[in-house]
Amino acid sequence: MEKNLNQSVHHEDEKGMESQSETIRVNLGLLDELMIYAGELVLARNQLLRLTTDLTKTIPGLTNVLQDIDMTTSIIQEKIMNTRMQPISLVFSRFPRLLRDLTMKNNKKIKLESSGNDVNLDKSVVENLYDPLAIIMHYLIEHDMESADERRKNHKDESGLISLKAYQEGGKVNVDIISNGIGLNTEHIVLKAIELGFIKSSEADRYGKKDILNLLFLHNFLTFNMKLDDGEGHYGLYDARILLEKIGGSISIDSDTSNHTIINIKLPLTLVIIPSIIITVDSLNFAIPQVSLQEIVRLRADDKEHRIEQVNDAPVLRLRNKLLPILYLYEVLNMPKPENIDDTIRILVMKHDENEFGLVVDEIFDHEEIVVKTIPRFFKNSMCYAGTTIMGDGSVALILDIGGVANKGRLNFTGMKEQQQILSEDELDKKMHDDMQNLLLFENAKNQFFALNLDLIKRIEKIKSADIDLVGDKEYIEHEGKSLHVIRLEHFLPIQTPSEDSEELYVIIPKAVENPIGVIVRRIVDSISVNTEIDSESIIARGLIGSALIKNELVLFPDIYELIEMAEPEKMQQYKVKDKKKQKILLVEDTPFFRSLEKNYLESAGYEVDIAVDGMDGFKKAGKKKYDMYIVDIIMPRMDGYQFVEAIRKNPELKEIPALALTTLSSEESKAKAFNAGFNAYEIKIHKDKLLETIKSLLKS
Amino acid sequence: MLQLTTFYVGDTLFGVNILQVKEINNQMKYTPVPDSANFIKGLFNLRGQIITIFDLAKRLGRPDTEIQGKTRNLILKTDIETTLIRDKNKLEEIGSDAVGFIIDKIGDVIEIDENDIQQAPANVGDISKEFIKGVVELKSDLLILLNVQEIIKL
Repeated sequence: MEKNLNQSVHHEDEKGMESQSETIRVNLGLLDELMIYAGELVLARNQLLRLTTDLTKTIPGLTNVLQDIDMTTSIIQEKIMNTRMQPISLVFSRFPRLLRDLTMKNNKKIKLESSGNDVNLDKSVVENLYDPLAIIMHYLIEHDMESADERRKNHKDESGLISLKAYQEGGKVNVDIISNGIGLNTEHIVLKAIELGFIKSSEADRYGKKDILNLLFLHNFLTFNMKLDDGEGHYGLYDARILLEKIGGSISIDSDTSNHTIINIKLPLTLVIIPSIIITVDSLNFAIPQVSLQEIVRLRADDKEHRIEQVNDAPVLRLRNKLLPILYLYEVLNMPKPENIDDTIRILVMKHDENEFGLVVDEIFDHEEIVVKTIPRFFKNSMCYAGTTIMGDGSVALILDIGGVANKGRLNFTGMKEQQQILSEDELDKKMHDDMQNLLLFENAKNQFFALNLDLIKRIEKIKSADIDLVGDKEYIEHEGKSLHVIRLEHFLPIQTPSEDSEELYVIIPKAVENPIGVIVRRIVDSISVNTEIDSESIIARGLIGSALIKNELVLFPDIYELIEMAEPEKMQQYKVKDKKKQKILLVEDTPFFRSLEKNYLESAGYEVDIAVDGMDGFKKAGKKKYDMYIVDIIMPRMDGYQFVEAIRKNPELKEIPALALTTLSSEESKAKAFNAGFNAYEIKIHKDKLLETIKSLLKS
Repeated sequence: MLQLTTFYVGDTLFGVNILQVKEINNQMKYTPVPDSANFIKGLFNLRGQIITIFDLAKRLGRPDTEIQGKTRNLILKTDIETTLIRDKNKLEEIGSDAVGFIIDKIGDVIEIDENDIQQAPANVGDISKEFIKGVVELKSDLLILLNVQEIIKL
């Protein structure tokens, strides 16, 4: 007896030892503290690196030590973040029970399967995921899944299937909830929306499938009584959406041909680090979570056409076909009215719930990943703050709560919507500011979107497909009495070929080329004004500048000049630099579109190109590295091109380096001003050939 | 015996239990918080911890503190930092948000007998009674024990 007992104790011990060696329990407070110190370590590292840049040459071995510290610090921060990660199975494992309760009540048979159980998310996200998922499950079970009898009648397996699939994609975690019930009937949704007064029956056929499905997420569209962690009440997909948005997530719904209803959720890996944009008012930094940012609009104060107007005593901006209510952040926060720092009005277009509004701020800085810390209780009354964060220089910045700011500004969105209807379409804006890119959006194959900067387009012609003549393997149309070579994007770019030629086509004719060539496109979608950074990494192909997400659609930016080179290689002159040693150019340009385009030109001509986003940034970079040449935009925030070149010419070390002004302004006046300021050459942005020729001759001399 | 950290706001001498004090520093770069109480000076980062700094003079109903050479921040320990010593030493609960006060000048650390603490009968000078936990008559001065909980109550 005694011996037995001993044995079992011994056995227990061994088991205990085993599990001990793999995990230990750690107080969460300790992890939070560790995270704070890791953040602190990162700041100290950044300061150290900044302070020692000049010493690395004089102290041998310092560079290696610094690199070690740099890397180790990043690893430590990442690992500590990892300690807070929890598997999504913690949430998934609660659903079998919910399913049992609901199916019993409804006389339905439903199986549940899940995959990706080991996908990890930050604790704060995991903790807030059950409620929205439970609402979605509830919706699917009550409104998508048929009863066992009905399913049998329709020759389906009598038990339905709901699958939960978690997977990581990019920096996000996706959760798909798929149910094989009756699927989504858009007609029913439209009827219900009309009945509830969300849309007018006369407007119904204007809605596309996506718009119709999005109606499901509107407030009070469809609710059901259910119990959540927070208590019992009426909930609907609207609530699921709001709960998900609170944790930085988003939701969409769709159905496929076999009637599967698919709800997709995208979640951030962590709430502790969020992408945000840093802005200032009265020199005070604020962070704004990027989820709510739609676009950035800059207006010149002297722009008569685009300015903030008063409608019913409230400031508004006409932005495309909308009236955007405007809030001044300084007013919302009861700050003194800041002095204008320059003649530009900067507006962040924010989205809160379904409503958009413009927030006027003084300055807009870069995107930054910030570490969120809680807001001290003393500031909760304000409602405008969601948290605090520590900036790179160690100072504290407040994180704005966009919902709170909108409420505090007492925005009246309903009145605004009525006003919008009065706006006539003719009054829509054409051109906001040089910083905004005015793009022509067009479609080639179905749902494949492209964009071209309007500044690059000479004209757009509508033609009939029968007008195209085939000569050899090339296609031509008659244009202004001459025959014009036309090309199709799908012949040069790795893209889908349109299923069939429609009768009517469009030809885009680019500006400023020696041998004009037209580009055939199927459908002109819209001309829009946006401020998007073009991503030139994700999709790389000859003839493409890059891609960008515009209004949630992937849009490709063709490089019209490269396409022409590809279509008529014999006619284009080659400017490849033959020297082995690459010459270095600093490109100072604030407009993202031109930045990508010009960088592409220069790099394909064989130069090494560094980028600065405005004159100030450029001047800093010029001081750090030796360049063979500066190529500089004229109109830029903070420090314009004239000021930049003046600063360069005053600096004894830099004053000999050639500088080329690159601009959209082509008046003699601005040209003279540029030479007076110290530029060696003056070129128009879109004249690629001439630009490369000038660069070459400047670098030779 | 009870050890107190003493300090001046204007000419008035105040004291708080030394065990409640985290540190005293002269970091005077605050991030002001718009749309908040006027006696809150702002926030700063103390080794990764966000500290809310109260302008003590303003809170007591006097004009704003002018920052001068001897101006300091008196940073208090949060409840987490005093968990193990709070009950034994009768420290105040101040919550989980770190707070500090701007003071005009730091005084000596003094030792007093708990029995010497008297209840303040009414306001002392311009200092409202609610902010006073007690008073101690020193040889040359009257020392006011600050009611921290009340000061940081909004």
